[in-house]
Amino acid sequence: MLPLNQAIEDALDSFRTLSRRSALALLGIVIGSASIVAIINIGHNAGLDAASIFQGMGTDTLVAQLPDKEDAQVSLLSIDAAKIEGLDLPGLQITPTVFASISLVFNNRSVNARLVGTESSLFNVIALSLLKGRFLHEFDFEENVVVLGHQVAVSLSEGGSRIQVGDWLNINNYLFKVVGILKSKTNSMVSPVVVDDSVFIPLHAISRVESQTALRDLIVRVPPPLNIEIAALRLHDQLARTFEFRSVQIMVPQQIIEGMNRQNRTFHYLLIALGAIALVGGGVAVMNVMYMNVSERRVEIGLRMAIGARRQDIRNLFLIEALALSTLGAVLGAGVGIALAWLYAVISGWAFELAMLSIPLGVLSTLLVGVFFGLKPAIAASRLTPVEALRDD
Amino acid sequence: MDNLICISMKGISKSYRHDAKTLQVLKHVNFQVGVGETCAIVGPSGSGKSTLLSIIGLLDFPDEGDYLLMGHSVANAQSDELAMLRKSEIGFVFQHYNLIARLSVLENVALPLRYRGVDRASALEQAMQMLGRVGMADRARFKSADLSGGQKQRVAIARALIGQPSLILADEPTGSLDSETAREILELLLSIQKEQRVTLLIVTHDNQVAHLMQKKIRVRGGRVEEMGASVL
Ligand SMILES: Nc1ncnc2c1ncn2[C@@H]1O[C@H](COP(=O)(O)OP(=O)(O)O)[C@@H](O)[C@H]1O
Ligand SMILES: [Mg+2]
Repeated sequence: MLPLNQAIEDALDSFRTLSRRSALALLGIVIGSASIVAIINIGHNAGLDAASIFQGMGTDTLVAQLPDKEDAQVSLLSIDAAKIEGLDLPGLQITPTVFASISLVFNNRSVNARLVGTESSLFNVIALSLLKGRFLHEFDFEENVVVLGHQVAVSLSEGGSRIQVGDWLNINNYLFKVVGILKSKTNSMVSPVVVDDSVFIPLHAISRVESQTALRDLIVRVPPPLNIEIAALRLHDQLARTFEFRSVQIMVPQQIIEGMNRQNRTFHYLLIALGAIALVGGGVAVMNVMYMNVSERRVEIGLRMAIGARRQDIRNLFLIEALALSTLGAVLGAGVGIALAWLYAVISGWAFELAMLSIPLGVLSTLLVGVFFGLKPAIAASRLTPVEALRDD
Repeated sequence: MDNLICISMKGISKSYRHDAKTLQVLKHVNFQVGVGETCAIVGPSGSGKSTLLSIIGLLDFPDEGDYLLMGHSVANAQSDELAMLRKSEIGFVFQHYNLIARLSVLENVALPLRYRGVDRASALEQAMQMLGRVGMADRARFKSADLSGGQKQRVAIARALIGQPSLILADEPTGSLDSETAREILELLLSIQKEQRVTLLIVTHDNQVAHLMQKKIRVRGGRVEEMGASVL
């Protein structure tokens, strides 16, 4: 038996002189391998980008909106809040939010901001994080305390003196004590809260600042094992009955994610099909090159048989050549694929992260294609009888 | 040693099918060649000399008959066993040399050892010695394509001998060479044959060459007849 390392040496010997035809086959393999690697990476980064839209809002969270209907009577926050308390939705964690546009005054400097009246649970539900101090506390009741979004804090500090936890802030002529400043946070597509441009005060403190506010959004956490879709239906049902003069809309982030994924998946399958076609094309090219290689080297095959090569030695000789060709193509293709995916990410404005699995998957599928298409010519070579192979005509 | 039999054929027949016709090339051929003997195979072109040599060399199969090579019956051998026997018992010298053009002279000569599992370094070392024996050591690094016909055949002889076979089969080894070079190649083959006591079969058209052999076999009309021993 020809030892493996010698078999490889022999194959590489002939590989050295593979012709321009093999360069074409190589190109096919590179394109196929590159598309597979690029596709996996593009899919991976598209997924990351989609996930980033939700910015920490878990898939166990949904948002109910209660916009005022035109010409309906405006309800009062205290009444709304009482209605929410009265809902029969065991297990659901409901965080009510109320919004108002206001201007803040600090140090003779006035800044416009969005005022959010809410409860302490908002902190976890939309995954906030603190730069300094604390968030709202359930014992704040209607205290005049305020937590600042990052951009608001920056704008207020532009007057010269930096705003600090413990400073007092004027909101519609009421003084609120700053208890915390939040870290900057990208907006989630589904959350109604624009964190950086908002200031947060206790839900019931808002009536003091804005008398005519009604409940706007409920951010609802549906902890497992509750089913989020059933919870959404029950919530809609009860809200519609309780707030009969207002329209009720429920957004389920999970459904939105699924919708996006479905769209991505279609795109994905299309690209994978293209990659597979390129790869198969490369494989067929490898097969052709190997067939020509076998027929050009027929006498060499006969000579090798005459000096003692067995059928499997001949088969391996050509199989290893096909594999060497595909390996080279796979490695080059992986490099090209990563470069393409990176370019795609840059153009799409995404951050690029390498999908680790893409390299072994791309290289492996290419090698499989190489073996699959290299096997037939290699077996054809090994099936020649020595006289047939040596006949010089 | 002299009374041992290297090749023993009994009732060997071989025919080829051309479209509907069957061409019988060898008809019940019987003959023997002893170990260490030299033997010329002569006969008109197309008479079946190469066919006979291919069967002797286990490159082709007879349709019927018994063939013993160095005591091994090869009639029912599988392709792997045949490859094994070719590797250990036979060295081939072809009219058209059949060197691998992209490999160096040295690599060509070392190739049979590679199928014996000899590692690359010692295969190349042995090949170098063998090239020295055929007077080609100074061409070891050449590509075989860059050699003259006579030089190629020297390299081919080195390749045939490197595995220390018991039998050398040469099918018109000088058929592509001018007469001067042909004589040199023949002298080389014969001197190595004497040194190594290897059995040598040469297919030739050259009567002078045939006369240098101990035994002479004529192939004609599908039959093989032994001619009188030549004067040595
Ligand atoms: N593979 C083959 N198929 C058909 N006919 C063949 C084949 N090999 C040889 N022959 C025929 O057999 C005959 C003997 O050929 P060959 O042994 O090469 O003769 P020689 O070597 O004496 O010139 C020729 O007529 C040739 O055409
Ligand atoms: Mg012939």
